[in-house]
Amino acid sequence: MTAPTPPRTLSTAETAAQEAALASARAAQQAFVARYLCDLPAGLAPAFRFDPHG
Amino acid sequence: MVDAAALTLSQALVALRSGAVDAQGLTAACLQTIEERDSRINAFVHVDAQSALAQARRLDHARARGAAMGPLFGIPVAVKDIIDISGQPTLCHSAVADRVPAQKDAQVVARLRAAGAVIIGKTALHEYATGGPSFDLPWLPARNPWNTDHHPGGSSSGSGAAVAAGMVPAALGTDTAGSVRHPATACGIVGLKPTYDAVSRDGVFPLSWSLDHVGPLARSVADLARLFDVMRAPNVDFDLRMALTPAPLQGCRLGVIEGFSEKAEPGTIAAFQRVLDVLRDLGATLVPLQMPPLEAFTGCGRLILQAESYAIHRTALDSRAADFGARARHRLISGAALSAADYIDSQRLRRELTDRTRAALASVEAALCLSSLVPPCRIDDPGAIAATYDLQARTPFNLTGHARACLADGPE
Repeated sequence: MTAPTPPRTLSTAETAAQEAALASARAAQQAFVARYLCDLPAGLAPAFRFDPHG
Repeated sequence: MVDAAALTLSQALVALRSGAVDAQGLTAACLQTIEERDSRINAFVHVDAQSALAQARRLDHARARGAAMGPLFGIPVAVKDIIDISGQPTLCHSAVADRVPAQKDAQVVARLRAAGAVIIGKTALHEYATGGPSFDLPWLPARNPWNTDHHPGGSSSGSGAAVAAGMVPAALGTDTAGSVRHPATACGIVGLKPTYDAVSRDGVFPLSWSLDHVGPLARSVADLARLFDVMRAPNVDFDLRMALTPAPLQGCRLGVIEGFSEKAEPGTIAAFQRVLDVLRDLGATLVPLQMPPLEAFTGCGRLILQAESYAIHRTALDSRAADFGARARHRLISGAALSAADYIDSQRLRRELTDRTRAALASVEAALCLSSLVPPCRIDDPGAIAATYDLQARTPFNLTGHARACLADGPE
């Protein structure tokens, strides 16, 4: 029996691109959190199930 | 042989019922059109011609023995390759996906089959329904049949392209942030994102549990109604006869969400205005609707999608990151940076946005807004591709769960 081929790892360039993408996404997330999520009223409960017609 | 490209689903049903064509003839015509056109469009990742012809033959034989014809008797339907078809692997356009064949049809596919549809093959998508058109995957991305240099929309790209190119009269897609409506818009056909939970997601690989919807793409609104009538869950009320009966617009109150058009290109706004003018001329009363800003919806949807999709894929991202295409990997990994509080607060904002949307819609019978704010971009322009997923007004209704159909405005 031959050993299974180990999964390919990301190259240095791919890792750098991924880190850049993650940093960009995080910046956008933080901007959205600051603008829309920081001042939600405490009494507002999350919606996990949705009936759009109430 | 019937010119499959010329028939809508509703027209094909008339031809089938009149005997002008049988199920085998229509299926063969679709297979021939796929053979002729798909090498340029890449709509399909797998066409099961033998199985499709066998399904059609069984339908024709059953009819010859006097069996009742189902509501979609003999209609070839393509299925996005994120939805299970019994005996075929669900590959999600990814090298990462499990190669084991599905043991049974997804519930929505089973409903179509029971109604007499012929399942003809699997269509291309963005990897795991996210990212964008990619050239580093086992299959090429689907292209827009109107101009193959252009993006067909996504993530249900192949389903939109296959219907628009006349390869099939109907296809299934999934829609988490607009993925049925984007290809319908970009390819000039029609698509429906039904109300949340109205169509079962059983047997559909998830992208984001609380945002995912399954919907049909076709070439006429009547076709969408016929498909939805079969696809819907048993507890969902729908009156097909009423849906197919033209109703006067005189006195009908239609909401217009103009705020969602703020970043639209002038040509797109002009096309929307033409549609509004037609509706006004037909007697509708157009009512401006005040809604929260589009960016609140799209940002909220993005955070929820990022968190839920990262939860689904994080094990594979840890162990097989290099097997993902770069676009999907970058999208999926973005959820790693979110906190639990970010996710919960997004769901809290979602409740507020849903409540405000429901209140805005309470005074009208239906509402209109743009789908895409810009025309389809080139498929080989990474900057334009990255931007196009934010230049849309589709995500709001994934958040709120409201049904939304996407209709094409014809060229001038």
